[in-house]
Amino acid sequence: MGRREKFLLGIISCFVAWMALQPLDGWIGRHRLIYGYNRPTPITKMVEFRPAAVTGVLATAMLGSFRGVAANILWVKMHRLWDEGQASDLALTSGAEDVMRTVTLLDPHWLEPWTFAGWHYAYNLSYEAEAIKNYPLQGELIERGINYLGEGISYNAGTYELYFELAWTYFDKMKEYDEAAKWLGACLAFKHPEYIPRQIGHCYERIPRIPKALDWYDYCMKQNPADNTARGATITIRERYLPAWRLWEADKHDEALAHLQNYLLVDMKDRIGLHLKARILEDKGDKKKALSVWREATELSINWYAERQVGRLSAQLGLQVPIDTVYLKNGGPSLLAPGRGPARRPIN
Amino acid sequence: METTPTAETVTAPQAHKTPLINFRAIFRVASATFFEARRRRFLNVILIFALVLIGLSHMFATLSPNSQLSMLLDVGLGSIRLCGMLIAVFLGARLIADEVDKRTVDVILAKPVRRSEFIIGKFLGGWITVFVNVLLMGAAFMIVYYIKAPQLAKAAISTGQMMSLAETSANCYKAILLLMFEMMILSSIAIAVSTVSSWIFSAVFSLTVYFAGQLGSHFQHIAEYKDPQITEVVTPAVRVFAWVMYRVIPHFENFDIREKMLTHEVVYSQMIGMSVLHACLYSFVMVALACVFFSYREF
Repeated sequence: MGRREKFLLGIISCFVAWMALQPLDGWIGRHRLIYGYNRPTPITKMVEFRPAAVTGVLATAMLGSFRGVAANILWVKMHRLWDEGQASDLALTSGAEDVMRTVTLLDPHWLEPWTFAGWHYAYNLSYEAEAIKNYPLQGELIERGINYLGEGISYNAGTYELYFELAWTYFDKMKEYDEAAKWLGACLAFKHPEYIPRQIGHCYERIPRIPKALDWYDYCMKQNPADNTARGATITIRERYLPAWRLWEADKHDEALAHLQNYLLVDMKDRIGLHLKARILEDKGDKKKALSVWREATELSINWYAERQVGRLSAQLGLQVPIDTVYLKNGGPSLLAPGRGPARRPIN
Repeated sequence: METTPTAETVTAPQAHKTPLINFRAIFRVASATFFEARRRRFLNVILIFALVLIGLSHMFATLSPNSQLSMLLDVGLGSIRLCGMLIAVFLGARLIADEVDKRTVDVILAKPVRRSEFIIGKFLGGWITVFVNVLLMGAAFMIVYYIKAPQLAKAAISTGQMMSLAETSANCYKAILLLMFEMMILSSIAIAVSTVSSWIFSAVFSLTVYFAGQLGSHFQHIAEYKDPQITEVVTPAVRVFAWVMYRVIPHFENFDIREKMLTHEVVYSQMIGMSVLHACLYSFVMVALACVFFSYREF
């Protein structure tokens, strides 16, 4: 065999050996994805982003395990943009957004950027949009903040922090108490601070769903008999709202309203009392009165929960829905469903 | 008094039996390469730089107060990887090129050493050098880790984070082991390329392959997934290019277990074993290729 033939034979042998490697390579790639050694490539998501963010991700992804360090350095840059006011100015946010997005893609197990991005969109930027009365943008920004937190959860499903952040955004910003209770419930699957179950109680008392709230406060007191917040909340609810709730359960609407009214005469601005009153009126069929009570509740303080109910009832009654509640405070059609009342039970 | 040779005293010269693979020659070339590499100044500089970086890795942890342990792992293991990569590439690229440039290869090949044995010996010597360097850097990192990690883990657990330091420690050893085999592939590529080109080209090429190798799953995604979002943006030519890149370039990301380290989960030995096997086979192909190229080369 000549030298040239030997060379060709060698090349062919190497090619065959390399081909034999391919199944093993495929096995490793598949199993790394299945068992979570690799996270799914963010290419699909990156198509939606601006080129700066994509370039940043590709360039630093090539650094392999230095991704975490790169993410940290970018996060320092984010702080600088924040200090210069470029992160909170709606006209200048794209640079800061790119940095935030790049950091979350580079190191998706780092919780702080997810928390920060969610809070920044839902609170700071949405406030800027509200200040210029751009309600569609405000709704979009809050939704973006919520989506950020949801995406963060998909990467960090085994820890309570981001579930809580999402629940808090629903509770405090959106006043969407059902959703907040759901996500707070998710926190309980993991090691969590003591205030989480109490917060679920707070959600249910604001809807209001009094027996459920009491159940959660009861749970808190069983966990920690020295929990004075839960104890105080239980006493207050039992005194003020539970009698009216029980009467409502027995379909005694007028008695329930009369009982509640006794307390509302003492404290006319009680949010939970007004919410409960509006619910009872609506269940009784007096939607116009219920609407006026919800309106009263909106005047107390920032109460988007009540504003959503105003929007919902206005739509049902054929009245004009307030324009500033259409996008954000109604939260879209899914949130226009009527609130749930107590479970009926037979009266002995 | 001289005796004249007779038929009894003179025997016919016996044919020299050479084994299929002369392990003795390979061992000699490998050991010479290892001891010679120890004297290379740039290797010592990289090693010292790595040790300083690893020693200071806990200081970087302050950059992210809520994930200090992750930062310690990132900087420590990242430093080992970066410096290990530089050592593997520059050593691998110069092993053959220096011998050819200084013409010492002629002296070696004049002895009963085949060209393929010379290449295998060089590769093994180079890899053992990288292995020892990574081992030293790994030992330095583990010292820093055992001093700092318990404090950082305690702080993290107090904030409600869940973690298992035992799993993380075991994962650190596994990560260092995988790094050694990742560098094995890189050394083999550098040696294979240096047999047909200058050492500078070989170094640049190997570095490019290393960085592109971190994007294996990205290439696969572009090449194989029928995602409507991707197909709208990516042309068929780009898709073919991505497929070729995915198939040809070694997937260095397969040696990265950072995801599991950050989530404090077990890294299964089956996965480690398969990755090591893959590294050995890929290196074998590269070294075989280097042998073929080197056999064809004329000096």
